[in-house]
Amino acid sequence: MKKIILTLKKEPALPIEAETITPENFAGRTLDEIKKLIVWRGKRKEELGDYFKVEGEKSEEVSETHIILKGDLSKVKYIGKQMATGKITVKGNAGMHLADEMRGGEIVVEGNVSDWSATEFRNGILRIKGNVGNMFASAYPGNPRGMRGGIIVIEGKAGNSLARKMRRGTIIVYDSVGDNLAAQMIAGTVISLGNIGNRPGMLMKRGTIICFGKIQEMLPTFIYDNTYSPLFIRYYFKELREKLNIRVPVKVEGLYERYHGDVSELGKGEIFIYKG
Amino acid sequence: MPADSFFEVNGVKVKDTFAEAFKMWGSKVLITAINERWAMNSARSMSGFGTSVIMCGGEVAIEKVVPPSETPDGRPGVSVLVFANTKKQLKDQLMRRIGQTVLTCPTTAAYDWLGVGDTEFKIGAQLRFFGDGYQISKKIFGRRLWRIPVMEGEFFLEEKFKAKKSVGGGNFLILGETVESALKASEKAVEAIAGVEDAVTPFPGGVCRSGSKVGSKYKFLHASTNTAFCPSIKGMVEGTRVPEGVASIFEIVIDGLSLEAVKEAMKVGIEAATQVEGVKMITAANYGGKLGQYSIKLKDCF
Repeated sequence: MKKIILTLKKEPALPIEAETITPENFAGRTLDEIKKLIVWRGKRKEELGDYFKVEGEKSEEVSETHIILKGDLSKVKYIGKQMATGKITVKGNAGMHLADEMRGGEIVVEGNVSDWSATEFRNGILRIKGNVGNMFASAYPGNPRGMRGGIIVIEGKAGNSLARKMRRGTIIVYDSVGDNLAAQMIAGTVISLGNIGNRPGMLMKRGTIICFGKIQEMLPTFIYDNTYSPLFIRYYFKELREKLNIRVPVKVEGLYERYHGDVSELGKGEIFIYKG
Repeated sequence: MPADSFFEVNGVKVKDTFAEAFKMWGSKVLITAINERWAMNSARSMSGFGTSVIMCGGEVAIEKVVPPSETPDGRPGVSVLVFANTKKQLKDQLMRRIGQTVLTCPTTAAYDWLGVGDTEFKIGAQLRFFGDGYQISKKIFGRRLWRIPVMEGEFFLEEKFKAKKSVGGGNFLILGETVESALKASEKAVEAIAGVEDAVTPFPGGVCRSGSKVGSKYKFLHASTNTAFCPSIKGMVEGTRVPEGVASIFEIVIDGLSLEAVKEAMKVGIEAATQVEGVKMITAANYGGKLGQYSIKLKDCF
């Protein structure tokens, strides 16, 4: 892949919206043309070159474009918005709305990610090595569906309201997850290797939550079914291990308590709690 | 009439003729289970009564044992090849056989094991209705699978099974001095063919003792015993093809997912059979090349 390296010159005083940072916008452009791409600071139109030093080589193919961002980008929003192919690596933290409506390709963030990122994520692979904020991989208010496909791996903790209105796809969180996980979930799978906060699966219709830790407070609208060893979980983890090199510190072929709910909704969702 | 020509393999005469094979459609199903015993129980049941499309609807046989490290769920598995004359018949066979012999078997799961095919059938998508509304689908890395609740726990199977254009009816005949020698050579041939990927021998134990010819003296019968190769009536049949000193003949019928797989299976089968003492000759069954779409010359296999 052809690498284009953007190094933050100095942290912006105010957040900037840099939705132009996508392989689609960078491919076919010279470094000088990339520097002239628009970013927004409030209502002011500015250039990418005002904030970043741009190095690397010109890439002709979008799928062969690898953007590497260096620095603390906590105030840089919308990185990788709607990207469909190629790769972005953030060597540091990333701001809000990262991978917004992402359609394909891969984003790797080596630091933490702010709230409202991966909103209405459609496809591709997103790997976060740090923690993520609230409303991650959720739906925008008023929209009927949140995450609609793809795979998100969070190696740290996740905040509140992760995967709200999730429709399809897989999210795996290595550490703990906050409150209101997968509220109004329609389908898909969320796996937490750590603890989960209050009320997971509130108003979920279908979909699966798998918890390898403890759940702080289960809703009374989830009903215990049985304790058994579902085969699909073994299948899931073998695929995750082979395709994404995700390894879990437990024997996944153990026993799980199954609860179904939310019975105040359709009630075909399920929560599995690992029992060893 | 020109004299028959031969070549030799391991010092045994092999007639320079051809096996007449047919276009078929084939699928590969992987059955996994809690252990190899139960995967094999299901695979044996699935491949039961699957010797010939003439009366069984499909030709079905176990391909090989698949170790846990290679199966999608990390459990022991057995791969089964299923063949039929048409796509419609193959889909019907997969539905019946997976539905009645895998779904019903303790702890099993069924996966498409073909990978790339020319078409695909919605098998799990239909068998899911057995779940009576409690079935759950999971799309994992682009593959949709179904979890069907059953009394034992859950039956897990793939939504779609692929199928590809295949070759059925590759064959060779082993002509032996005695039943024992011909059968021993057949067993050796089947053992050797078991190591060939994408090819199976669907008859009992991989061996067919009753090769057939097209037609019969009876109008209602489309196929009847291959009289030219029946040693016991050698003296009664005009144009018998049973050589002097041959008391028993077995046919090894091979179906494969590709012509190359069938030819490779014929090669290793003949090589193994000709190492057994008492084998007088190897030849192949054909219908003059008028019925089958493939004419596989024995010589071309080597």
